[in-house]
Amino acid sequence: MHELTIAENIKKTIEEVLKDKKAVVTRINLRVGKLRAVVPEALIFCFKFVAEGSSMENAELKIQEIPVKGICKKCDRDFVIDEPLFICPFCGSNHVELLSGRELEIESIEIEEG
Amino acid sequence: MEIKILRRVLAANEAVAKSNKELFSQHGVLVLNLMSSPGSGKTCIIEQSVEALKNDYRIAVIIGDITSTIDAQRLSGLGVPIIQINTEPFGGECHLEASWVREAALSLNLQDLDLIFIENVGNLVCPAEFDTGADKNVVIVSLPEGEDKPLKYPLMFRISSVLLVNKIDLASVLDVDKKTLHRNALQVNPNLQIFDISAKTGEGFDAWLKWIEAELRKKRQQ
Ligand SMILES: Nc1nc2c(ncn2[C@@H]2O[C@H](COP(=O)(O)OP(=O)(O)OP(=O)(O)O)[C@@H](O)[C@H]2O)c(=O)[nH]1
Ligand SMILES: [Mg+2]
Ligand SMILES: [Zn+2]
Repeated sequence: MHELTIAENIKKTIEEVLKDKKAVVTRINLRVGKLRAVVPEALIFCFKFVAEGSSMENAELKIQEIPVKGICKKCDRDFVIDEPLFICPFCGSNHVELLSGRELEIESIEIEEG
Repeated sequence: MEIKILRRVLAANEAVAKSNKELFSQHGVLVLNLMSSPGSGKTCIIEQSVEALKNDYRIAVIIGDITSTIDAQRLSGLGVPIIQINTEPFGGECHLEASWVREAALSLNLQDLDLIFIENVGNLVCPAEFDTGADKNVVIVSLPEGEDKPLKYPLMFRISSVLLVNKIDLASVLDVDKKTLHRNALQVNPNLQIFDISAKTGEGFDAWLKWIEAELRKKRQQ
């Protein structure tokens, strides 16, 4: 369900960007943070479904997964967070701010103008 | 041809959420967004909280039940305004969008309100993605759900200010360690305020209600 809503929003966003431009979208480059709990296969599947009949129906959805990174507010070091433990691996502080991992953005699209 | 567009996919929702925040602060109304898995006790908790606070504060409830009006009917006896959000008939939506919350809020007399409870759709994933513009997010885990929810749905616990551990009246019959649940939650978000409650017996409600009242005072001072 989650992926379906995201797929719909991707389509809407690209439609807004393209407006009345006649173009076929061949590729969509996405950046998705790991914290977003998006399953790439599910998103691709849902996007196929919502894009059917539109200028993006054959577009390849390329998903770049962004790791969750944090910075320790105590010792100022940054690190990748692989499991949901928001604790500094250097000093053990739990005063960790997120640097990345919540992205959900369309970086670029590739089009063929018709 | 490649076009750089750099758009956040949920930018539209985020913009509406931001304007909701402004709307709420203009009217000095505190908005709490309650989220949990299905059946953790959102409706019961709202029921008990409204009952306890309604003599001192002007309250309304926005309900986002996707499939029925059952929750709205249950709450209708409280004697406060209840707005049911009509979600997509085919979508089976799994969260509330900021624009629906806005529409619901605008149908209330905001200047005559102190506090709005939003009951979000029962789900720990999607509601975390879609900011409603509420002042505070409150996540509820009921004891029978076990200790691991914060580790499985970290974003939800990151965006929340309060964790309500509900159904603690069942502690003696369950093999669930409340302390582990607390520890997991604090690992994901050390700033979480945690209250152990039972919407059935009323246990633990004092501290939760005190927290709400403190937030109401803060809102008023702004
Ligand atoms: N034992 C016990 N049962 C509770 C408690 N709180 C709620 N329940 C029961 O749990 C069930 C679900 O409660 P609801 O308040 O409907 O939960 P909800 O989160 O609103 O559910 P949805 O709207 O369907 O997602 C009901 O049968 C309640 O009576 C509690 O503190 N203790
Ligand atoms: Mg309910
Ligand atoms: Zn550190």
